Amino acid sequence: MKAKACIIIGLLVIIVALPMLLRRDSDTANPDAADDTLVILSPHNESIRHEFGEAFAADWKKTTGRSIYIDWRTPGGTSEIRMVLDAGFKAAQKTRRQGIGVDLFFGGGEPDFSGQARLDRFQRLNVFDNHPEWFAENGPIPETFTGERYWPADHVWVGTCLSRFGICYNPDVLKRLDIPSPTRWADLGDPAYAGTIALADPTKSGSVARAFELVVQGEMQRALAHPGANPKAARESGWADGLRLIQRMSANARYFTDSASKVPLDVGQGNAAAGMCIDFYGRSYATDLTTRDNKPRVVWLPSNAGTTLSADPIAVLKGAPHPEIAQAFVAFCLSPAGQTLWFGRPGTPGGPRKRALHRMPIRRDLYTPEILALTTIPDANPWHDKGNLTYQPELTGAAFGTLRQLVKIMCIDSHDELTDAWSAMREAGMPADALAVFSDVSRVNYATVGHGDARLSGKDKLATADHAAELGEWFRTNYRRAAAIARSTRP
Amino acid sequence: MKRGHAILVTTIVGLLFAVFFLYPAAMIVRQAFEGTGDDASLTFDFIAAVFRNPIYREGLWNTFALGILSTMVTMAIAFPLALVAHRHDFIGKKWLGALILAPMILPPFVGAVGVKQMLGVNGSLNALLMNLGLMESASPHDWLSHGRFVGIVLMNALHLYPILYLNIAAALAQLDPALEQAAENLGSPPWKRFLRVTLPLVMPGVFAGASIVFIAAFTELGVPLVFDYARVTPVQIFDGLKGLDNDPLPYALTTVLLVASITVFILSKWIVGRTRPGSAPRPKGRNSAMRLTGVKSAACAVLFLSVLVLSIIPHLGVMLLSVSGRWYGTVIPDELTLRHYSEALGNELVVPSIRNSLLYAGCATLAALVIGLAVAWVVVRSQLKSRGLLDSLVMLPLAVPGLVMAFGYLALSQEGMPFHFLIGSGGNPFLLLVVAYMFRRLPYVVRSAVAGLQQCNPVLEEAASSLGASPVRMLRRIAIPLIGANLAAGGILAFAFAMLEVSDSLILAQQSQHFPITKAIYALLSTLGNGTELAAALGVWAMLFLTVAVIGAVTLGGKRGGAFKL
Repeated sequence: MKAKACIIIGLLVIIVALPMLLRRDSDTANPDAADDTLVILSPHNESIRHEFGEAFAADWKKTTGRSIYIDWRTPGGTSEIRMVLDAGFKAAQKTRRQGIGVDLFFGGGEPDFSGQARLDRFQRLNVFDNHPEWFAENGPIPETFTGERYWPADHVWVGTCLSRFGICYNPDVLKRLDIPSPTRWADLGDPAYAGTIALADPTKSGSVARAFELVVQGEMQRALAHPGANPKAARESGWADGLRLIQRMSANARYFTDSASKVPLDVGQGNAAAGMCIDFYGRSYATDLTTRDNKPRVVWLPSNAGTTLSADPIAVLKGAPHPEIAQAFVAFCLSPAGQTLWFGRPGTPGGPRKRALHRMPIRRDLYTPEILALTTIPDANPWHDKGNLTYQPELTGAAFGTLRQLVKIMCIDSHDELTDAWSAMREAGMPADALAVFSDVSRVNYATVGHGDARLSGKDKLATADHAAELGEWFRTNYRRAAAIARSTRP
Repeated sequence: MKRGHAILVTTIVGLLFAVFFLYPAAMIVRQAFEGTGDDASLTFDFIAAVFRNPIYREGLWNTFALGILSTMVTMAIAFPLALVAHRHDFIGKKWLGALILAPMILPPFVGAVGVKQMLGVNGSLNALLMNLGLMESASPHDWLSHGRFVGIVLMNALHLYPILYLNIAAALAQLDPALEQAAENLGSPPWKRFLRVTLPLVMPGVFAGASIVFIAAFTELGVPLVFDYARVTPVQIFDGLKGLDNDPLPYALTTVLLVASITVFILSKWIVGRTRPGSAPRPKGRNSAMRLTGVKSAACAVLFLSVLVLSIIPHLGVMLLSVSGRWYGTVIPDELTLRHYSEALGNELVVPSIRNSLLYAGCATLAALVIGLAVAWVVVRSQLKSRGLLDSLVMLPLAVPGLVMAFGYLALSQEGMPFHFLIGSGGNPFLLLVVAYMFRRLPYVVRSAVAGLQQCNPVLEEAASSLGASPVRMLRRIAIPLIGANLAAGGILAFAFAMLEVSDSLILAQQSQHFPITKAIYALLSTLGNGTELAAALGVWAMLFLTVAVIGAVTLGGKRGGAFKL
C-alpha cells in the first residue's frame, strides 16, 4: 500500500515539477514588479500579443524609463468580446461609472469597431493631433482604400494593419479530385468540390459577413461593368447571381466555422480541399505546413477581383484607467517601429523576436523594396494589386445585416437539404429543371431585400424569427423538390 | 433525519442555489421572456417561436434521439465491464480497471483536432487501411462526414461510459454478496440472479450514472461540432449565442432544453425510482470475485482493452499531435519531436495556471462534496415533500450551456453589481470560479451520494443516533465511511471535469496570472505556426496529471474504503 502511494505521489511530483523546470519568464509578465499597467481587450492571437507586448514594453522603458505590465484580456473572438463589452458597459451605466477598467480594444474588423463607436464607447485618439502628417492627404495612412474605411471622421478608432479574405487550397487534394487551382470565389461553386469546402461563418463575425457581401458585390460589379448593361437590370441580375454563387459554395461546404484557424488547418490536413480564409492565417499555414518533400500543403491567394483590403483597428475605451499609456500604445502601433512587426522576418532589424505575424501593415510608406526584402511577404503590394475589388456601399451596404441573415436562412440553417439536393443533382448530371428550382432566389430579389429588409434584420425579433422560419421552409422545400426532380431524372 | 434539520439544510442549499445558480442563469435567459415592446413585458412568444420553426423542432428531436441512444450504448458498454470487474479476477484487472476511466479526461479545444488526425480523410486510420491495401489512395473514405449520427452516438458513448462505470462499480461494491450467494444456493441460474437480485439492488447506481450520461449527451456540444452536425439544439444555441444579432431565440431554446432535461430526469426517476430504496443491508463480507485463468481471463482483459483502445482514439490523436513535427497522411507522425513540450510547458502562463486550476477545482470539489452530501441526505433520508424538487433542481446546472452561465456570472460580478464581492483584490476570480465550477459539477456528487445512501440501510444510522451519537459524529463514523466509495466516485468526476471546465474559465479568468489550465491551453492554441501542437502538449500534460490523480484516488481511496472495487 505504502509503495503504491509512493509511486503515485512520486509520479505526480514529477509531472508537476516538469513545467516548473522548463519555465521561461518574460520581461513584461510580472504584474507586481511593473511601474505601469496597460489593460488590452483583444481577439488577436498569442503571437501578435507576445510580439506587440514585448516591443511596446521595450519602447516604453526606452522613452520613459519605466517598466510596464500588459494585462491582455482574451475572452475569445470578437463575439465574446462584444458580449464582455456589453456586460461591462451596461453595469457601468447602472452604477454611473466611467468605463470598465479596460484601456484598449485591439483587433477585430471595421464593422466591430463601427458598432462600438455608435454606442459611444471610444475616446478620441490623440495620434491624429500629434502626428497629423500620418493622416494627411497622400500620407502613409489613407482614410479609405478599396472602399474600406481606415479611420472615421471623428477619429475614435484607427486601423493598424490590413487584411483580406481569400482562398486557401491543398494542392494534393485538388490533384486527387482532378480540379484546377481556384483563383476566384466562383471557382469554389464548382460541383466537383462537393463536401470539401470549408467556409467561415458570416453570422458570428462582421468581417466574414463583409466577405460574403463582397461575393455578392463582385457579381453585381461584374454585371454592371458589362458593356451596354442597364444599371437597374444589372444590379438585379448581379444580386441574384451573387446569392446563387453563395448557394453553390455552401452546397459544397462541409461546415461554416467561426474559428479563423480551423479552415487553413483542415485544408492543410486534407480534410477539406479549399476554403475561405483570412490572409495571415493562410500565409502562416502555407509556411508551416509542408509535405515530406517540402512542398506547401496550403496555398493562399486573394480571390481575383473578389476582396477589398480592410483595416484591423484599435481604439481607446471611454473611462480607460490608463488613458495616456493607451494613447501611447496606439501611437506605437502606427509608428514605423510598431508597423514593421506585422510583416518583418523574425530576427531582422525591427522585425518580431520570435514568430512571423504574416500581416500587412497599414502604412503605405513601408512597402519599399528595401523593407519588403526583410519581410515574410516580399511580394506584397496591396496598394497596387489589380485584383482588388472596390467596395461600393451604395450597392449592398444597406443590406449588410439582411444579407447575413439570408445566408443563415438559405444556406446554414438549410444546409442538410441544400447538400442533399446538390448531391442528387450531381449524380443526375445537373439537370436544368432541378437546377432552376434549386437556385430560385426570386423571393429575395434585389428589389425586395437589396436595400435591407426589416422582416429579416429589423428590431422586432419575433417578427424576424417567424419570417426566417417561413422563408427557410420555402428554401428547404425548393431544395427537397430539386432533389426529387434530380432523382427522378437520374439515368 | 429530523424534520427541522431537513428544513434547515433545504433552506440553506435552496438559497445558495437560488442566489448563485438560478439568479445568474435567469439574468441571461430572461431575454427569452422579454416582450419586444418598450415595456419589455413578460412573453412566451419566443418559446412558441422555437416550436413554430421546423429547424428547431428537428434539432430537438435529434438531440433527444442522441441522448437516448447514447445513454443506451453507454449502458451497453459500462454495465458488462463493471459486472465483469465485479465478479471476476483476471489478468491485468487492477490496471485495466483504473485505465478504463481515462477516456473522460480529454483536454478541450484539441480533442477535435486529435479526432480529425486519427479519422480524417488524410488521417491515421485511412493511412493504415491504405498501407494494408484495404483502401485506394485515390479515394479515401471520409469517416467524419458519413454516418454522422451514428458517429456522434458512438463517440458520446465512448467518452461518457466512465461516468456510468464508476457509478455502477460503486453500486456493485455496496452489494451484499450474501444475497447473490443465497439466490445461487437456491438454484437460481446466473441470468435470473442478475435480473432478480443484482440489477434491482444496483439500480440506484445505474440511475445515478445514466441520468448524468443522458443529460450530458442531451446537451453535448463538442462531439456534434467535431462531426459538423449542426441540427441539434446545443449547437443551435451555441451558434445563436455567438451570433451578431442579439437574438433572444437561443435563450428561448436554452429554456426549452432545460425544461426537457429536467422532465426526462423526473420521469425516469419516477419510473426507475419505484424500487424500494434503503432496504439493502450493510455488506456482510468481502465479495469473493472468481479468479479466472487461461482463455477466460485473457478474454476479460481483451474486452477491457478493446473498449479502452476504441475510446482513447481522440486521446491518441492529441498525444501524437503533441510530438509531431509533421503528420500528414501517415499512420503516425513522420517527424517526431519534443520541442512542443519544452515550448508549451515553459510558457510563463503554465505554472501559475496549474496552481490556479488545482486551487479552483480542488476547492470547488470540496464545496460540492459538502453541499452534495447535504442535498443527498435530505433527498434520501427525509420525508420533506420538497425533496423531489430539490433533487431535480440540482441537476439543472448540467443542462445550462456553459456560455450562458459564464455571461450570467460576468454580468453580476461587475463593479457595483451583487456578485462583485466574489472578485478579490487585483481582480482575482478565485471565489467566482470556485462557485461557478462547484455548481456546475454538483450534480455528479449529488447523484453518487444519493445512490450510496439509497443502497445503505438507515438502521445503522438510526442505531448510532439512538446510542447518543451527535449528527456530525454519526456522519463521520457511520454514514460517510459507508458511502465513501460513492462520494469518491462523485468527487473524482467533479474534480476531473472542473479541471477541464471551458466557458467559465475563458470568460471569468480575465488576467493572465489568474488563468486556469484550460485558458492557458486556449492561449497557446492561438500561437501562429504550431499553436495546435503546443495546445496538445499542455493538453497531454493535463491528461497525464488527471489520469495519475484519478487512478491514485481510485486505488488508494478504494482500498481504504474497502468498498470501491475496480
